[in-house]
Amino acid sequence: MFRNSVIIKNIPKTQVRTYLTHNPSMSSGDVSLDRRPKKKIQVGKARPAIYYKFDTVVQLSDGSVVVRRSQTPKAEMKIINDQRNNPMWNPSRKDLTQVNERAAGRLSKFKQKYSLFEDLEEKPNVSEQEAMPQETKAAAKPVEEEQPKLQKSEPKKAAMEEEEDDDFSLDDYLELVGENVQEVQSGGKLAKGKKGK
Amino acid sequence: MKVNTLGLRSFSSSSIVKGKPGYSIVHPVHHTVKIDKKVLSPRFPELKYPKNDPRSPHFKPVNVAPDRLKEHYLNILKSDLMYMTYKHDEADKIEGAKKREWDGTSAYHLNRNLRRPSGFVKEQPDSHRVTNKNVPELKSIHINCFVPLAVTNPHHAISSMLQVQQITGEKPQPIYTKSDVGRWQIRRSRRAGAKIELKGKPMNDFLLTLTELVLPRIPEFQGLRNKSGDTYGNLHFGLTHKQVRLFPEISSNPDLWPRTYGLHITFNTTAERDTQARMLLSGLGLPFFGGERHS
Repeated sequence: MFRNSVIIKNIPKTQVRTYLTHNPSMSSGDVSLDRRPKKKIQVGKARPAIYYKFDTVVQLSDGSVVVRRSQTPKAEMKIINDQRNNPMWNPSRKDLTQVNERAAGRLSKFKQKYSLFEDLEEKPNVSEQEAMPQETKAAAKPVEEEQPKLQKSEPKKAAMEEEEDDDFSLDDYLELVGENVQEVQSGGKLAKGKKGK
Repeated sequence: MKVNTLGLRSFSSSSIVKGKPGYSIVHPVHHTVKIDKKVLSPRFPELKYPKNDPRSPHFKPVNVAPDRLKEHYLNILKSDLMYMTYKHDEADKIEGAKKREWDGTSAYHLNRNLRRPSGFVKEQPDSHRVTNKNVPELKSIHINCFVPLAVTNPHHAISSMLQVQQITGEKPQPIYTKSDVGRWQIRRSRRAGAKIELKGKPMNDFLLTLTELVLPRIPEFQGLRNKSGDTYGNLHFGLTHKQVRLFPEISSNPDLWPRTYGLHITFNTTAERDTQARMLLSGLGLPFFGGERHS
């Protein structure tokens, strides 16, 4: 008994502390790391920092394949935009237009979202005129002006009506979708504190 | 009774003159010769091996994989660079501006420090004619990732170290803050980021990744500025924390990286002038833009 108590007393504080320590001042998820691991590395026993690296087969945009060594555990990687199809690195090639991975424009974002309607709408007049830049708009104008002339001729009238019907149906659909719509509140309501006493 | 100590005085010590314990005037030899006692001791036999011996703790295997960029440099670029930079009618060595003597018209010139070089504040290095012995070469790439945020929150220091380690595949060194600035919430000797000096294969791998995969995917990238450089053949540029996300190590698993940090990258070359360094780096796949600096 006496012996045991002596042994317990003699344990130095440094041995008791753990590598992972919990700091009460930090929030519940946080864990503070000690600077050094507990066990000291003996002189002459240290090893240089060499990290394991995986061989990743990288396929570039022109189809060439290179092996890349990195710490990411990935066997294959296919790159869409890289040095081989970038006009800055290939100034002699005129055929290169840079493929935009993210399609950053507002228009393309819109198209991505509502591409369904574009497919339904076979007549390109309305949607394309909004989409086209000003230079092309001027070129497209005469087509619109031609429409009233076409309506005068009777045999083509039926076809036009059919087209209009299609338009109406799409509009109806849009109206139907838009009926009694309430705006969706993004994010929930904030929990309000108790009202003052 | 007084003892005449004058006759006993040796010039290496001042003690006997006044009868007091003094200090040696002669500088001791044993402090000037550095002795690494760890290596001499029989306790650590591993330290006696040379660094290229696999038994040495400093051993790192080299030439374990083919190096595309090195082959490109040796087979194609080096001869081209020499062809483009060689000048027949140039002197072997053009001396840079050095400090000048005073003309001695004033008596005060006698012990005055040397006059500054004409047209410069500092002495300028000599420039040598490019021959087959000194074709410009990429010596090293320094990456500096300073994160002032880490002073207040030490987690950022760890994650910035990890970011640099993942991108380069080598172990970085920590950066410590040097000064106390209350307004910026910077305090001295706190860990604030990571740095690394890349050489050899890791350097070439990093440069290949940069020029083939990362920079072409930056939409707003125009190239390195022609104005960058320290005039002696070292060029630098930076990547923002968003551009760092395009490194394949990070872009292949972006969810793991809630936060990335910007980098400063310096290309350290053996070129003696910035123009030669630019020539070398554009041959290694880095585009340049903009007007040059007038100097």
